[in-house]
Amino acid sequence: MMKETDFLINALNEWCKQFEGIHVRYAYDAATEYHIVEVDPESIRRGNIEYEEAEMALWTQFMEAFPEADLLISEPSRVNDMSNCLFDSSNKSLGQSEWERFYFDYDVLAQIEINLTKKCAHSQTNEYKNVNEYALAA
Amino acid sequence: MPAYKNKAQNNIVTAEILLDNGLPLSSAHPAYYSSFLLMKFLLAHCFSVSYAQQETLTKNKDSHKLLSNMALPTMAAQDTETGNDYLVWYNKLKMMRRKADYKPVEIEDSLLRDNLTTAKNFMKSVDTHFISVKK
Repeated sequence: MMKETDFLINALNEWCKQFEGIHVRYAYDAATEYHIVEVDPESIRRGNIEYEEAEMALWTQFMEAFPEADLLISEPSRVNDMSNCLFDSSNKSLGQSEWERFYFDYDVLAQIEINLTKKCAHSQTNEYKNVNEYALAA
Repeated sequence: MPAYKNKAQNNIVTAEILLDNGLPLSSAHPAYYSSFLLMKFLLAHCFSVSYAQQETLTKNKDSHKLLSNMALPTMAAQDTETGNDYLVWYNKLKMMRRKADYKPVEIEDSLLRDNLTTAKNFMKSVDTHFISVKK
């Protein structure tokens, strides 16, 4: 089991370096004797040819190295028992959705800045007005 | 119709009957066998590994593991449209069968229905990309 686990963790670490935005989890389900790898997002799993080739290569290498062992590489699924999780890692680079969130946050920040500038200008005007009123009173 | 393909289709029908008649857990077994028997058919009729050769190759060995290791990568390489999904579908079906047959667990009906859909997808894709092409 250790050899299979080390083999998979090494390969999955490489995936995390290679594929921007990928999230990978690996567990060994002793009840079914399955090594389970969950990969997301789907845009990488079934939308990135390089990833699909890497997945095929991993299947083949694993079968050759451990012909008796069972491996499932799938999308995250409720069927998979991931309670004995041995690896959980992501490529931290910003994926599409993260960029969208970043732009959203940037818009919010920009709006806050505009509001603050307006408020600041308003209070400066009032301050100027107050100073003038005091001057006139004096 | 060749026997193994017929057996594979009958296993799909059996899984459906079990699901519709209050025995969902038992449906995992025929759902998996439909894919295994179809793979044996494919090896014999499309990949030139006769049934006799399959018998010899797997004597006293884990025939399921050996035959799937032989067939699945070839299927994925030849049918680039479905590609790696053959490996995913087959292993999902096999894992579910182990869970349902050997482990004292309850499995939601909806997951077993999804499992049957996986078996049907496997059969449909094999039929479209290998068997119908061969005719």
